[in-house]
Amino acid sequence: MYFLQVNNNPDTVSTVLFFGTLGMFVMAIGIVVFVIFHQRKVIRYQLQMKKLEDDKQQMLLQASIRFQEEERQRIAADLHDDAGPLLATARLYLNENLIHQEPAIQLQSIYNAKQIIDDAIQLIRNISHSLMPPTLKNFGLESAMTDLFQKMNASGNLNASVRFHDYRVRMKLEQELLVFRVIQELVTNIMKHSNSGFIHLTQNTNGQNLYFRIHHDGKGLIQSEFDRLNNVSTGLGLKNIQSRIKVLKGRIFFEIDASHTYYKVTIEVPKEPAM
Amino acid sequence: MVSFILHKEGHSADPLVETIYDIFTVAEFCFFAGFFYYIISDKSLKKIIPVVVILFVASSLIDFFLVLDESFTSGVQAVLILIMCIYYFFDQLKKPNSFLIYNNINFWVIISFLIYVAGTFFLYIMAENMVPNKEFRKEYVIINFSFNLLKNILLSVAMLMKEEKVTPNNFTDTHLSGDWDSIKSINNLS
Repeated sequence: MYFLQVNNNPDTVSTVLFFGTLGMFVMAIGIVVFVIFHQRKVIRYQLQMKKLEDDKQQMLLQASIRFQEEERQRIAADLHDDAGPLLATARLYLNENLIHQEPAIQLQSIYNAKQIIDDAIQLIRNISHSLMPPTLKNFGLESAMTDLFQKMNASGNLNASVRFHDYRVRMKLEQELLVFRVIQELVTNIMKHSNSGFIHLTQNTNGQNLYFRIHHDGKGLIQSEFDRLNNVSTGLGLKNIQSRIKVLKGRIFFEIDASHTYYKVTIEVPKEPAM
Repeated sequence: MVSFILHKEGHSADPLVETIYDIFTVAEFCFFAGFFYYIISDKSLKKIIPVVVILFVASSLIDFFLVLDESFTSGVQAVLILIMCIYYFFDQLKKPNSFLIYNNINFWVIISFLIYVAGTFFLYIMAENMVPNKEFRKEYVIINFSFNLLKNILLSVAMLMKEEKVTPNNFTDTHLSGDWDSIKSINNLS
């Protein structure tokens, strides 16, 4: 401005005005173009992320449906292959009573039928327990986990231990069952794939969250591997863990300790105390 | 239009013309600030806008009665409008919108002012000192009318376009009965 006030030459004024106006105009157009392109880029990115999320949800849903179907098939097979023949045999023995009138034979067949019915009762109880562990229902997660780890210990191949530091108030039964299933799946995976010598489960509380941590000295997973395996279409176990954690509104984290001697799996679950 | 008629009549340096220009500048800014107040969502900024308008009107009055420098008012007005336009874009980029910005009427109103104010910025701040210059007056008319025309075209686009409505992507459709997914529908079965 000072320059223009001093130098009132028409040519200079025209040049300054022309370039000034052009510069401002280009700047305004530049801002508009930048905003449009940037927004398009952001929308494209958001759509891409949404598609990935949708795909992941779809995969988890499919895994959950497949898991349910497999569970139903397993129960159907147990009932058909084990309970069915047992009850049919018991029926045969009881039928025999109608044919043979001798008391000794009748007594023997009734005894055999009773044995078989006892076996059938035990079998059905086992199926029922696999669906809902009675210890979990009656005594809570701590007892159910202790029970599970004691059974693993009894096999003699693995040193398994549990320690709950702060579990005075029980969670809702549905939550406890979900946590139990997640830990059960993790422990089964560790036993199947990791070749570990010990598994140790600890529980603690911090603020509004409960924490469950499994340590083991076998070959484990780290978070990136878990994420990768979770996104491939094969395998059901990890996807079930992920979908259960999602239902719990919690988080799961796989890591290896600094000395690379053992792996840790940490589960964070928001507290929802039972009424 | 007013400036065009006055220019044709040769009243450009008339005090009446100066007054009309000043009133127009203040009114234009007040309308734009009102529009900006209406379209932004930030509540703290909404509180600032009336204060800015009051300060601008006060400074214009001081300028009109005491300083008599028309470029000052125009310059301040242009800078404030530019800031508001850039803030609008910044605000839009922050929002997680799933529809494109140019499908919005407000966008066309904002760019019409942005381009007009940016294009005439140098013209207005130079106007006070360069009015006696005949060559400048000729360029003033060309530039001012060109950008005014562009502004009006963009405002016409804004007025003619239809706002894109976000269609709900769920099953609460009128074709379905009101209780199809509720507990009532289960009770109705029994």
